[in-house]
Formats: sequence, C-alpha cells, structure tokens
Amino acid sequence: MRLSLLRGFCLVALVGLSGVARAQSEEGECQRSSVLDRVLGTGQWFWLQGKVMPGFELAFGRGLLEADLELSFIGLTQGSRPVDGGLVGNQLGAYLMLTPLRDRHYDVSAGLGVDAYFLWGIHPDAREAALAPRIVARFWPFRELALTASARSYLVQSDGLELGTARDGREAPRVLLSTGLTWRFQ
Amino acid sequence: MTRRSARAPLLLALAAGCAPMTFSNEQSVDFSAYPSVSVEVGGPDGSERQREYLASELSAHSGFWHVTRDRREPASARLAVELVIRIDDRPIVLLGSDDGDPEITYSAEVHYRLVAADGERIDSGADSAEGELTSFDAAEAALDRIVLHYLPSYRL
Repeated sequence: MRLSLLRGFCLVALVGLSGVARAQSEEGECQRSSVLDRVLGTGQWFWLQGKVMPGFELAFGRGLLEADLELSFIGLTQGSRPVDGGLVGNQLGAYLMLTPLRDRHYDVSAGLGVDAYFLWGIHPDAREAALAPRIVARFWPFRELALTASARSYLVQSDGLELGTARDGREAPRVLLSTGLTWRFQ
Repeated sequence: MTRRSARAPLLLALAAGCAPMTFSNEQSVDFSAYPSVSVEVGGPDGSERQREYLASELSAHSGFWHVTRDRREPASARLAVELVIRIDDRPIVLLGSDDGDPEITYSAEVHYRLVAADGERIDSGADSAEGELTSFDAAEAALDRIVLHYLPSYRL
C-alpha cells in the first residue's frame, strides 16, 4: 500500500517534470496553448518545535485552479526511542488550490488537501494523516523566483497526530507555517 | 549592537511561528507486566520462516523487552498467531490484451492471541494484508500488522 502510494507520487512527479521539460522546449504560441499556464517548484522549510522538516513542492496550475504536491522529510532535533538516528519519516501532501489573487508581483492561493505522514523511522507501516485547509502567498521580486509562505491547519487528524500539542501536552495554536523559495518553470 | 537588536524581533517572530506537532502511540498492552514473549506462528500457512520473521520484527520494533521462538524458554506471555494465505480473486479476461502475463496477487490473514504465563488472555485481534506479489510478501505484510499493534508508547 505504502509502496504503491509512493510509486503513484513519483509517477505524478515524473509526469510533472516531463511536463516541465516539454514546456521548456516549446516557445511562443505553443507555450500559451499548453494545458498548464504555470509549473512551479518550491524548496521549503516547515517551522516546527523539536523537529526539522525540509521539503519541496511541485505546483501545476491553469487560471484559478492549482494542484500542489509536497514531499518533505521529518527529523528529530533530539534522539528519542523508538526512533534511531533521528529521522522519523516523510510527509506527502496533495492539495487542490484556488488562486483568486494573481499579479506580476504576488499571488495568493487557498485550498484543501491531505497531509500523509509515513513514519518509517518508527515502523514501516506506521502512518498518520490529516485533512488540511491551506493558504499560500508568493511574492515575485523576480519574474522566475519568488519568496513563498504557507500556513495550514488540520481540520481532522488521525489519533497519533497532534498539531498544536507539544510532547509534554502544552497547547499552542494549531497552525503549521512554512517558508521557501519558488522557481517558475513555466 | 544595532544589528543585533534588529535581528532579535526576527528571531522572536520565527520562534513564535514554530508550531509543536507530536506523533504519538498508546501501547496496547502493559509491557512492564509482560516484558518477554514467546512466539508461535501456526495455521495452514504458518512456517518456521514466518515465525522467525515475526520474532525478529517484534524484537526490533515492539515494546517487549525479550522475544523468543523457543517455547521451552520461560516468558511472561505467549503470542499465538494463525496465518492463512490466499491467492486474490481476479476477474477472468476473456479477450486477450498486450499487457503480458496477468499478475497474480496474494492476501494473508492473521488471527492472534496474547496469553499470560498463567493462561489468562491479555489481548487478541485479527488483521490482513492484500495485493502482495508473492505469498511470502503477503505473510510478512500481515505479520507486520501484528508488530504495529505491539509498538511501545511514544510521543515524538
């Protein structure tokens, strides 16, 4: 199951990357008539207490609609049983976004999606998931490079996943922030 | 000094933006009361290989401190597993296709009971795995579900 999910994600990513390559090879009218009017890649960092979570995102959009796919790695800043070596696992995210605000210098998207956590550092079958609304803002100081910030919360989350709750039970706002750099491929 | 004071609000803002997120698990049995377990895999498809696999995975991941395959070795609990492996039902293709050989997949079902040394039943359950390409993969995937059930408590 987890292998087929990962295979599926890789397939989507490969299809996306082949789309990028194809798009880059075409010019002028061909580019404008493409199915997608933007393909973006983002390297991002999630701001978490006690964990490091770097990752990347591929975004494919046309007009108001955008599909975002994320892959991140989760590590602990301090070792803890039963995780050896500090690497907990992966996050895979899939989001359907609407982009009502889009300008040369900025765009803002909002949408809904799923975050799945594959905690193979604990056990190959350990996984958690959440349904998440998400907002993304990108600022484009250059035509092809943007600063990106995103915020998400978890509406519904599986029993073993607690956003906004520390290990010792302390509560905090249930908002996960990330920042990153985005490159426009198309 | 001025640069340092200008940097402080930025660092504070970043620190304030760090959300806690915890992955947690509640253990299904009291491992301090049952620290050791002996493993038996039976049923129509149980084998020495599968018993060895389950024992080694439980040793690596579960909350049991000691796992043995030797029934004569004293243990505070005994884990008895019944394993059944099946070839998955597939629709029969009447018209040929160019897909090559049809893929046979396997599913496995496990029923397990954890019994204390005095015979009292501590825990029991059943689980399954489907769509695996070999019978060994199916058996191991189903046995993995048992290991997952006996993970220790954690808060990460």
